[in-house]
Amino acid sequence: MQPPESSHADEIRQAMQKMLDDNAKAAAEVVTVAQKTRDEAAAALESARQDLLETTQNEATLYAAFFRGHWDRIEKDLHERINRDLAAKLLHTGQPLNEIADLLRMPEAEVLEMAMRFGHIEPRTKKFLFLEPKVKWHKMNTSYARVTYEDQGRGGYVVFQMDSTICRFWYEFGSGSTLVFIDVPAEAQWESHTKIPLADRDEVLNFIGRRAIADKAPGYRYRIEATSVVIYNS
Amino acid sequence: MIDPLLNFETYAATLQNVMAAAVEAAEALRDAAAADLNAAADYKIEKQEFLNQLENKARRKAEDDLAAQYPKMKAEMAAALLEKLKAAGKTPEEMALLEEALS
Repeated sequence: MQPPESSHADEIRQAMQKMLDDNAKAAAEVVTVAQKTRDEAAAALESARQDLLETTQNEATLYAAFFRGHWDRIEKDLHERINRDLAAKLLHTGQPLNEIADLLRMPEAEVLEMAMRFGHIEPRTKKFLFLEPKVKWHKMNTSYARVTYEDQGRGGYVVFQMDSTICRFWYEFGSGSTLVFIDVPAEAQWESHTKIPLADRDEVLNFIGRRAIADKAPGYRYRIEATSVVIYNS
Repeated sequence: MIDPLLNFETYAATLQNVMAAAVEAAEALRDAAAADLNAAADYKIEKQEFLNQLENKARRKAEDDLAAQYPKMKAEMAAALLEKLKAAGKTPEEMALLEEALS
């Protein structure tokens, strides 16, 4: 039979060994968890690297897809712009609204809106109240213009409209204090791209800057650069 | 097997050292993970910038090409409209006015 002292020493020995084992397990778990985090990060890095590689290798295909998408959209816009221009000319010759809409395959409401805006017919407020555009027109010099927005994820289009002129300017979100860059044609390309006189460029860009802040970014400021309108936080 | 009757300081140091080594290894792993995640984010930004530039280049090319075609497109649409007006029964006098208006 063991003396009481010896039995007590065994208990202590066993307890200490268990603590060592538990400590070793806990330490191993700490490393295991960190290793898992490390492995996941390494996998994310490899995935991102591979993604970039595949993207750059597919440059030609991506470019063609982007080009086709923009071509189709711009071509459609130009058709609509020309249609509106033709509609305006037909309105001036006194052609009936429904005939113009039918010939140009335009919504009659759109022709009606043009006719009212150009003063060919007087709006009958009560009857046509529902035709009021959702986006308000604002006075710009001697005319009225409006700005609408087409969001497309990381960017989109700012659409400037004045009379029968419609211009779409691509925008992208910036970083830091810059909220948005709105791409606009440089002075040299302004008239060919927008069909708006160069003399009106500053006025149009200032109008877009003011409307963008009022509509989308209260508290921000804008500045006009050579090929962009920059919305920023001062 | 530890002999508890031996040095308790050594025992305590063993416990502490094992855990300290594990924590140090874990911190190194986490640092490496953070570096990887930063590098992955850089790759993603690079990809996004590449796509943005590519799309802008494609968009400008499409704009320039179509701007060059705009006069021809406009003339063709006006001509097609005049054909429709003629087919709709407009008189020669009306057609003359419309041709002038649409020119």
